[in-house]
Amino acid sequence: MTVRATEFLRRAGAPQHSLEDYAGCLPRWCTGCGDNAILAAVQKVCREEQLPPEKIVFVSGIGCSSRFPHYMGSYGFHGLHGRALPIAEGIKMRRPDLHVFVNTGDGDCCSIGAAHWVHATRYNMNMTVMMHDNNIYGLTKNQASPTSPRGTRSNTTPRGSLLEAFDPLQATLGFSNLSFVAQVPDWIPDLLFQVIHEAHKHRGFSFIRILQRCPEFQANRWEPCMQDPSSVLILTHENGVQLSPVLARAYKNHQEHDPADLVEARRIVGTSEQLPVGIIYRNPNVPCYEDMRKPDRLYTPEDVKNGLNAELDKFTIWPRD
Amino acid sequence: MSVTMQKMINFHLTGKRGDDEVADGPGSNACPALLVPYRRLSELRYDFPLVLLDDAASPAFADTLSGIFNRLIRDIAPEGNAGEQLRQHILQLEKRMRELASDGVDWSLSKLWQDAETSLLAERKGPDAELLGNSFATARFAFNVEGQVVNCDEQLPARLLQHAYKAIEAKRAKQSIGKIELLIIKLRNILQVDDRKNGASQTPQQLKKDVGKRYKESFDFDLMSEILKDSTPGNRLPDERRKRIKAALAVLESQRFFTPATAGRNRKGRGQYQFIADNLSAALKSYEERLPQMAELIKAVSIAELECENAYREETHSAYFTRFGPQALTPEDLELFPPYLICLQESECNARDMEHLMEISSGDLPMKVLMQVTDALTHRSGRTLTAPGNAFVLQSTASNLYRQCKWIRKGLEFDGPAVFSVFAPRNDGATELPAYLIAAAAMESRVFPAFSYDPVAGPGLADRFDISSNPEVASDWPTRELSYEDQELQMVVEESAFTAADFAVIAPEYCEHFAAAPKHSWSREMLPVADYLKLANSETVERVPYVAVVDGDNFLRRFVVDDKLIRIVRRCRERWHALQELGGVNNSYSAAALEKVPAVPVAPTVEVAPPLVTEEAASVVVEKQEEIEEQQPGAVDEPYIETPLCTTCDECTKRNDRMFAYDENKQAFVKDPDAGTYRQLVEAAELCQVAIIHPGKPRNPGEPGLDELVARAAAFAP
Ligand SMILES: Cc1ncc(C[n+]2csc(CCOP(=O)(O)OP(=O)(O)O)c2C)c(N)n1
Ligand code: SF4
Ligand SMILES: [Mg+2]
Repeated sequence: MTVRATEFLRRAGAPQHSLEDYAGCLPRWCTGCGDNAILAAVQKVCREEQLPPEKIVFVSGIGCSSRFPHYMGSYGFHGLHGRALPIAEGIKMRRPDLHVFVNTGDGDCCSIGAAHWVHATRYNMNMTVMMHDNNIYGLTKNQASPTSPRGTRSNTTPRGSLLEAFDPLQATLGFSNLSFVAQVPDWIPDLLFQVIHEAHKHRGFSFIRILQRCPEFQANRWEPCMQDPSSVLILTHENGVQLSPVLARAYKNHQEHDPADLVEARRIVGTSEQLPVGIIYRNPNVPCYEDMRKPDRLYTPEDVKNGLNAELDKFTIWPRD
Repeated sequence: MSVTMQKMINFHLTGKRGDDEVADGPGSNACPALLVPYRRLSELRYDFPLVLLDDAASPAFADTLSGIFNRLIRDIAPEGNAGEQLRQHILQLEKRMRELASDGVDWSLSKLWQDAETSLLAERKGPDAELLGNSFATARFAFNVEGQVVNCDEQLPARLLQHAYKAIEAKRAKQSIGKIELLIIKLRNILQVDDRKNGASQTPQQLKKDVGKRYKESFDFDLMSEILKDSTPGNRLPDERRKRIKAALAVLESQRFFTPATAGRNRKGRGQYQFIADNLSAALKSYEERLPQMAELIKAVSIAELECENAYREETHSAYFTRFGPQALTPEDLELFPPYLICLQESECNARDMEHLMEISSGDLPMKVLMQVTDALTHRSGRTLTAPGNAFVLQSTASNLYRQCKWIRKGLEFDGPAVFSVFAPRNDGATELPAYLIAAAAMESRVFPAFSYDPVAGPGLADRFDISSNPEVASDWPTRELSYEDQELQMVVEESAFTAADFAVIAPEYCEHFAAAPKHSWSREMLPVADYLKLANSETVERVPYVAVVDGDNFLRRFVVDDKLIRIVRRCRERWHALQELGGVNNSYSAAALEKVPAVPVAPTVEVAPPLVTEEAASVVVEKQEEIEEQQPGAVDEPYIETPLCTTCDECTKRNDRMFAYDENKQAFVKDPDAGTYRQLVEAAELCQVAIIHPGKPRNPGEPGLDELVARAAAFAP
């Protein structure tokens, strides 16, 4: 039951939200940190969609990137290291009306939180997940992360890391029940905005790997890509991202890619010499877990109270008078 | 011409039977020859009895007994020999259930099973009975279907439709009431929070009472009261808002359209509205009368939704809601309410009812009408309904209803009027044939063909109109093989058409249109009705049409058909032709159009490679180029930032936030080039990781170290 009038009046009387409405505390990231760019893009998406700030939740784990919720003028949950996704799932389950965003680092997501990531993908709950991949543990000041390129010198790998880097895109394209995967660098603001916007519009678990600059501990990591636009392959499609004239001038290297094509998505990610950027895979038809588990009746406050009491009573030790 | 032939012609022309020779009409045990193989129905596994399933969540609302048993057998009896005995036992049970169910009593499926099982077991003794009992126990363990057992009879259409309606409406009601009750809880919460702020609950006395006796010594309630009072926000709901919330709450709590799902709601003694009726005028009147309440409810829901989101703006919304009334209800709003289901008997409808039916089928009122027809040959409603309108229409005989379940659901779920025209013969015992056979014969003989019209299935008739469930849709009459033994006991097989006249044999009110033709008079001048109808007028002279009938003693007989019935049969055929055209079969327009088209040999398809850049695309490319060029600043001497590429990294703004600033998109631009030094400009350009700051030429020639700075700035020249 939705009443037409409400829809209409909601819009008619709603205050216009500006970027400031989505701003929280002053960011304390390093100057030049790519997280600033991600924050700006996210706030622009919120403004574009005119999301009511009280209907937004940002959930994060631990890391520099996980400070994100503090900087948004919305609800937030700064969680435990690696546990952003289960918290976000819990929120979505009980409050499917909220717009849930998750910010997680490469350490947070691909290391300690990797198992949650696999299953959150499979549960496909409607949320937008941004994995800030700076190839390093930033907050704890320079330890190699799973995505650090082989040979990375860090506090934990002073002679250079020994393992090949873990590829989050290849990994996620192999997860079951996948519904949305994208990759975008933080330094192309137009694309960053488009990708986050599309991810938010997608109904399901939208995973974005954002290549993030950390001038502190991975200073030159993305320098070659930034200097040489031809090292970036932009995947365009009517159901994906589109190139503005300004971008088309700077980035000559682009290719049509239908995000519905999983085989092609895997091929591009697995073999491309260049950095593929854009929406890599999208399937709008995967059912969302919160829809499947929608309670089939309404729980009144009495029901909730009684249920909780019954549960708590199981552990009660009655005091002796 | 023989005397008997003359008599038969006379009967044909006048409809009056004469002396003994051509005096008989078909009796109550007469059966059209083509139907004979089906006379003993309960021995066949066909669509009946039907089970109206109790499980409202199941996607189908009805299933056939044979379908249910097929599944049971598939689930528990192993393939091949191993499962053979179990299979046989279960089929015996099904057969007995079918026999018991044919007595017209209301059965529940479980009771029918139980009685059938008991009666079968009573017939056996010893190990035989034990084996049977074991099989039944196995089957019962796996069986989890329950519902009401119904036969194909006069009650079927209304029962099936009401059952389907209730199942579908239960879903709609669940959604609507869920929404309403959630809003009630939320509105009550808003009021409750406000009530708590009035301080009454924070007095030391109240707190003491709340904590209870056991711990009353452990607390200082005066102190507690002070702390709590201090920490309670003092902002109360404005009076106007409180009033508005209470009013909306009152409407939601007292609505009578949906049954409350949660217990403990006070209903204020008024019952729920009924939506099932047996009178069109009454239904229309009640709809008119309830419109204001519908508007009130929609208004209350909308206000509640806005209030719960704190999105109600008095300045804009109040004026809207004061004007909101029935006239403002949209079709989307109306869809939230249950439609009416009106079950009518055509024979009891007067001209006014038929007018209402027309009105309903051409409008968009939420009315679902079952028009039950008992005289299939001359019924009125089906004819009026073939004119495509706004309504969803399904026509079917009772015998075919189960196969139309998909359409019944569509019609009931359709947002607008739906008319179900269903033929079900009366249970008046005038004929010995089962009602199922009579109904099936009505469909088979084109007397009551099946069709559906779904106004939202597509833009054209071809998408909307469907006659495909009729047999042999392309021909006038379906043909079947008629086999019998002749006088020499030789098997004879003939192709024979089943016409509306064959159907009339079993409709008691048409009995007088037939007269028996004595066996000795059978001749080439007697033609089966289908062949007779093909004759030109001049050819019919000295010929008579007949139908083949089998009597109670299993003798094949011929009955001459009078001219009056032949006319009715012709009309039936005409109506069928009209229906065929609507259903896209033998369409006269397309036939005429086809004739005009000269035959063209089919040209081989040649693949032409598209030009690499079409003219259109080329112009787009040029435009884009221009767009880009326009964005280049004219004078490169001025410092500037390629703002769209700014990544909001704070490097430049941290350096000098009067010189560099963010625009409304949080991307940097040069706000005031004179608010700092050229050195700052150049350093910012160097710090910028995406190299989009262009320092231009120095603005203050007196700034120290300019030469070196200009050299560094050269790297950022556009
Ligand atoms: C359970 C647990 N283990 C380890 C830590 C220490 N720790 C804090 S942040 C972090 C890694 C952060 O790296 P990443 O997730 O990539 O975020 P970044 O700071 O790079 O944005 C670690 C290991 C912790 N807080 N909790
Ligand atoms: S350490 Fe790296 S990731 Fe963390 S705030 Fe600084 S630049 Fe950003
Ligand atoms: Mg990291």
